[in-house]
Amino acid sequence: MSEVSRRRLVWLHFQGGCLALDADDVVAFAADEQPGEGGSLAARFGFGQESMPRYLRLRGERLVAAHAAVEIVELARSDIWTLPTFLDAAWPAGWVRHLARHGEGIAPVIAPTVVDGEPPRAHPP
Amino acid sequence: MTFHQMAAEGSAVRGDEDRISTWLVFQIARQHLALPARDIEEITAATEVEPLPLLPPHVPGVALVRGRPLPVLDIGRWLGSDTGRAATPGLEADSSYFVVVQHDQMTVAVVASRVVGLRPFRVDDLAAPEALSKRLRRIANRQVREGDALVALVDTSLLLAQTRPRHEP
Repeated sequence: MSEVSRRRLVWLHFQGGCLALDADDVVAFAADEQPGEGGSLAARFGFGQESMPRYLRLRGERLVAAHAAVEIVELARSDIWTLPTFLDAAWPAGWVRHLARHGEGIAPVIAPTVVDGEPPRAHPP
Repeated sequence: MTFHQMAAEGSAVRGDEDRISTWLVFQIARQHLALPARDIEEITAATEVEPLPLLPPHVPGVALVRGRPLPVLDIGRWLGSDTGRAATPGLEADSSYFVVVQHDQMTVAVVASRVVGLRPFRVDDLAAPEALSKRLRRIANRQVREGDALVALVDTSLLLAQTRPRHEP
């Protein structure tokens, strides 16, 4: 499990967990746009909705609602890891690039392509 | 001394390497399980589990072990056993240890209630898993008696193949 380069991330705090995006993949933030075909990140990943929606315009003209508290963080190399092999089929191919640690939490670093296509079905509780 | 060295020593002492295999025996609630000693990297106290989205209940998240995030594998949940309320966040009440398993380029932290220890078993004493539950037989292909306990001998390849999370399109 090797480390990858230091980078700036957009850290999204949902109710029940976190997601992160590479800051270069987030083109803009907006508060009052309508959700695009990408819909809601919270719904796609099975999180509760922590707050009123904020909209993220992602690379590739993808607009998605976050329903999360948003934080910009810069992480050291030692806080970003490649995905453990055991988990590399847990999400649709290409959705999760790395794992990252910020504060007390660990989050998947997701790709903009997560808003494409149908979301996977959540496992039953 | 590593587990690999201990396993080798366990065989060498008896001078009959073909007839003895060394296993790490542990418990999940009342169920005794064993994994090949050669696949055990270490045993640590269970630490907090950080949940990740869309994983099945038997993989409650990842835990930091020596500074690296390891997927946590709760075999008890996979087997459907009810071991009580959570004490460590994300884990059941009696989840005290992580048995760190390394096999086929995968490393996971297997939740254990109790670690019994390394046991050299005579290959001739390993039997077909007739007394094990149907679900347990999906990961254990041998059983052995140790005192009053029936120990399910888990095949690491089967364990990882059966429990590895796969998204459903």
